[in-house]
Amino acid sequence: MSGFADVEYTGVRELRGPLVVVEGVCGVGWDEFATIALDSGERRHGLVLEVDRDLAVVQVLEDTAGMDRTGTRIAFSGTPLRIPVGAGWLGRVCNGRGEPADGGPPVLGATDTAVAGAPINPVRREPPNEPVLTGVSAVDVLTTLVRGQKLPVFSAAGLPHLELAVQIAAQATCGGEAFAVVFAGMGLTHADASFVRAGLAERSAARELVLLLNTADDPVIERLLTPRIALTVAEDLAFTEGRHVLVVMTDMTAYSEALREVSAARGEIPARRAYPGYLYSDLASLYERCGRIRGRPGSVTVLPVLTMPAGDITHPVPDLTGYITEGQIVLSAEVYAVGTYPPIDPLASLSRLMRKGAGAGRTRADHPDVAAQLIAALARSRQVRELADLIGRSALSPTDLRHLDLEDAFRQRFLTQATDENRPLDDSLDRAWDVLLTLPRSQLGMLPADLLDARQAGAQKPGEAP
Amino acid sequence: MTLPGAPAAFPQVLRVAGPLVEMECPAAVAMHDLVLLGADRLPGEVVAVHGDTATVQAYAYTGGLAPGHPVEPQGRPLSVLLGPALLGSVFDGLLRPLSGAGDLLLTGGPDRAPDVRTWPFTPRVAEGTRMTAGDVLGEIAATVPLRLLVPPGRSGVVTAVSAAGGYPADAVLAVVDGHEVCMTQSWPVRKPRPVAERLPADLPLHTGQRAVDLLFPVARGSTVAVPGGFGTGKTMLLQQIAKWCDADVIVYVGCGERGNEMADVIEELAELVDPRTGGRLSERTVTIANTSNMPMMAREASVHTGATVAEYFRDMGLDVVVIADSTSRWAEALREFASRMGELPAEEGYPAGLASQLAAFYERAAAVRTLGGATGSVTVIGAVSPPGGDRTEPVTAHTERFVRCLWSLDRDLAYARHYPAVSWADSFSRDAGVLATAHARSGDPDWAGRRGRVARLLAEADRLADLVELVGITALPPRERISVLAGRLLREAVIQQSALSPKDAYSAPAKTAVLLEAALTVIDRCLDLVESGTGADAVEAVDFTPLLRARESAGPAETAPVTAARDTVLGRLAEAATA
Amino acid sequence: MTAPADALDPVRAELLRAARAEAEAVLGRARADADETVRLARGTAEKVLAQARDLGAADGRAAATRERVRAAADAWARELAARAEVFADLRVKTRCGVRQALVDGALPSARFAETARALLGADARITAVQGGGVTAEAPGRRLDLSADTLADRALARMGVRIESLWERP
Repeated sequence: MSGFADVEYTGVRELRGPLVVVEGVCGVGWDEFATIALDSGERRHGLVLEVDRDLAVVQVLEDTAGMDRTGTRIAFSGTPLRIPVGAGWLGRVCNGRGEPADGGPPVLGATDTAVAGAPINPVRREPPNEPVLTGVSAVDVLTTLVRGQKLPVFSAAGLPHLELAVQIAAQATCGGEAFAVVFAGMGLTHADASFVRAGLAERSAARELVLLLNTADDPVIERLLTPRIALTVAEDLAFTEGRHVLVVMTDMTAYSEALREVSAARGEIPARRAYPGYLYSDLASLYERCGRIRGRPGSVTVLPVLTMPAGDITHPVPDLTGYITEGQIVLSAEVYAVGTYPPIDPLASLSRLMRKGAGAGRTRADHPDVAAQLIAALARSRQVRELADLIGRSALSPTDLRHLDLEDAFRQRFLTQATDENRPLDDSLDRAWDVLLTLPRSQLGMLPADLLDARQAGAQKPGEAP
Repeated sequence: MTLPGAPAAFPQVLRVAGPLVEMECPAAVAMHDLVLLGADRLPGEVVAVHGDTATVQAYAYTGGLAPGHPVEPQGRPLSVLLGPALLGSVFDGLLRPLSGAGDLLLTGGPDRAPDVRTWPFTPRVAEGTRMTAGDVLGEIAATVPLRLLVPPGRSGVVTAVSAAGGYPADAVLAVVDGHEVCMTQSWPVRKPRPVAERLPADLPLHTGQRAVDLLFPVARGSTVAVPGGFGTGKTMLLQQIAKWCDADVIVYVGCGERGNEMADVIEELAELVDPRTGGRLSERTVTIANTSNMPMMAREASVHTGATVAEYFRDMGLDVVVIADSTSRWAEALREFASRMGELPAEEGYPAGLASQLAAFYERAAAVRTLGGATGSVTVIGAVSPPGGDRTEPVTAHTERFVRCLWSLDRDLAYARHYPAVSWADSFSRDAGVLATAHARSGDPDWAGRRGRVARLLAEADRLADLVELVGITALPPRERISVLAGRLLREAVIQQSALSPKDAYSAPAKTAVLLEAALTVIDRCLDLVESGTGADAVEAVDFTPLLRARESAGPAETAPVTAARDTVLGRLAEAATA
Repeated sequence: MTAPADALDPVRAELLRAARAEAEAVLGRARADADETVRLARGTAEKVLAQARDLGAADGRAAATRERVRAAADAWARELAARAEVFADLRVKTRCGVRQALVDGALPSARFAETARALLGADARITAVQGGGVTAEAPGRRLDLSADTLADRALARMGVRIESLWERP
């Protein structure tokens, strides 16, 4: 990678967990990338965690299993890890380290870029204000994803977050502008990995997708690299190639566990639930790579997916993620239990940038009002349902009963959709209207009167009246 | 291990572990000295000296830095440049301007564009005058009128002073006792600037947020912590205060927070008009942006940088508000570094010194008499981000002890879209007492009484709400039913305030007062009605909408629409009584 | 330290030129195959769709889409495989080229020992490697200057220029 020849170091002093301590090194810098050759001919890779005089502590991505003190040679690249970037990534399927897994040649690029990335200058950031449409009604209408936003999916074991992530990755568009998806899978089972590949095959063949897959039996530490490679590729596609790029990263809980494992091996002082104290900053170093830059086309939108262990939203991974990201899409076991896909909880979900990315000239003029009214109505529906559970349906007022109807209509006519159903925004919004008109007009105070008139006239067409 | 090309005179790097760097330590290197590391000259600060090695906290990404690389000691502590160029600009945690930097913040990137602006200076002394520290040498016409002062520690005869005219930021404007006084001066970030004396903080800071101004007011020179889990609207509330509070200068420190949010606040401040000056809000604001992906240790420096900037303006007799969002991220940087230093951890891995470091930061807030005899103040408002919303965690728990006001944000309120989600049950203001006196002095002796009444009504309504869930509203006696109604009226007509509303994002004291007066009058009338036999049902059935909408229909400083709304509702109540 | 690499530059250029001719053949075959697959799939898809229409079935469109997607994915997989083959060929050629250059003396092997001693110290133990080049060892350190390692390095340095092998004209 660097010069004409790299010195390989053979003085292995210590092997511990994923760490190898090399002695006698000279001029090795912190965070440098290392290549490790074993006598068996196998090659592994590592990152320098610490350099102390002539000692270097290297974190081995593939773990140290099978390494010994005499047959291990370590070469340092002279710089922190850099990868080639460019359009050559489009259409490629790689492992978690960015090596081909699709039978193709290595990915080549005109320039190399450090995977650590560089922070976007806050004064050069363009505040996000245009939507990414996903073809998923609940996302597009209620938690609109905005170009340059970071919006996580909070899920739990057993819920179809991977299906939703793949559906969004397969369907997302930016109104005809150049678009690409970078999908980083971490700790996926082989079945899941095949599911992802199959679900995104069309996008891949259309050269609109970069797929990086670290499977559950791949090295755990490699997961620390996967999202960084994904984001580095995405930043180039966005800010050099001018595309709008959606980066899907799943599962961030698996990623954080890898971080915890390395931290434990280093004997670091743990913070909450044994995760390292720098978990926030580490996650931020990934999520914050989203955005738009003034005067440049393209955008990086980040959609991390994470499973909340035991469904606990106060667990450090969802909690810290929530502090960094701009809202969240929450999947609910309760909604899924009644067979609804996607099981999005509309009240717990929120896109903080939606008010900038939705409305006239962005999505549709009526969108913000419709979304606000639908959320307000659903909040009322939930209260009514709780009340009904306590005191029985018979004690409910007629308006309350209509709110229970609304909740059903929302689920059946709006929320539910097939995993391969790509719903145009107009269709989604019309369905939202349809659901809202379950309520009497007096309950729809957030909607402009003229639109209501037009809609109610439309809804009375023969055969469509309830 | 000598690197080719490294001058032999420079000490070398010995060890690098992320932001922790160990270096050879020549005798001349002192604690808190600034050093530049490696060929990219990354800034770092000496934080420990042991024998012939020193430990350095690096303020930039140290990737590629290796043992053997040279270190340049600067022979002075980490300092920042204070001058008129601060106003309206955006800086990183070490107060380096971000405006001239590139799209991406690369370590060792190109030098930033030089500032070519000039500011009009008018001398206020004649040559030959004898002066002491803090005395006014002249005035600088920046977007906020500034003064050129004799720096702390200097005194003597003014031997030269520049004529009136426009000067660049680095111009020497006077010579006092043989020392040059520049338009822009350097000051170490960790050293509080001296004052003549600390004064009691007893004047109110109007924030323009009713929930705060009515219930948990803060004095100029006081301290506030704002704890809140994610999604409770912490940043939104702080941004509102940055925009609308009636301080002279705002120092907004975005410490380990979101980049898009920083971009948003920068853009908004540049667009919004300051209701008091007619200028742009950005012109009175200094923004320090150290987003969560910028180097972690610069986050640690950024709160001190912010406090130093605030003190600089305070010393000119200005009222300054420092907003730090979020102090938890700052504390995490402390923890991270302590951990790498191998310090013994106390609670949750935080260093044992966490409490004293937090206390030291909040202690930089004060109302003061400056060296020059003027009065000025620094108010510190710090956000706290408790992990998992757990208020017992160390940063929240310690902070609560050191601050005079606590605006605790409540997840349930936020979930119910009640903004700002300041909890009336969990917040406090230890300034309320002195501010009651201040209000009484300025002709409003009932202020404390009204505040107490609002607090009691809200608490009573909360207590009854639990009961209502169990037994239903109709099971309550009429008076209690009106209490429930009163709670709702206060919450929806007075306390709630939408940051997105063009008319109500900011509420002037007059509007706040009239809204409260209207709500209390209506509540009193409701109580009178049920006392005199009107059914609670009839009162509850009255349409209070005009009162609830009054905050949105009246402009930021308007009172007439509120009074009109009140009268409409009073009229309806009268009808209900006779029906 | 970079001199030997520069010496490889003409070698690289020549290799790339030679490789391009063969690459065209490999890729041409693969692309013809792929085009045929896509053409067939299109036919199948139309048939499926027609049948579905006849039967009034709703999922005919889905089946046809699946067929088209499968064919497009298949075609892209063939293209990638062909590129990998071209790349592997180039690697073999590069290795041969470097070995040959060592034999011809275009790359002076004496320089390798010098380089090794400069990097590892005067008492480095130097061993000739089969196929050309040397490896050198000193306590704790080792240097691989074998022909194949040098060739792989040269290949890596070609970077994106290699893509010219499979770019469509």
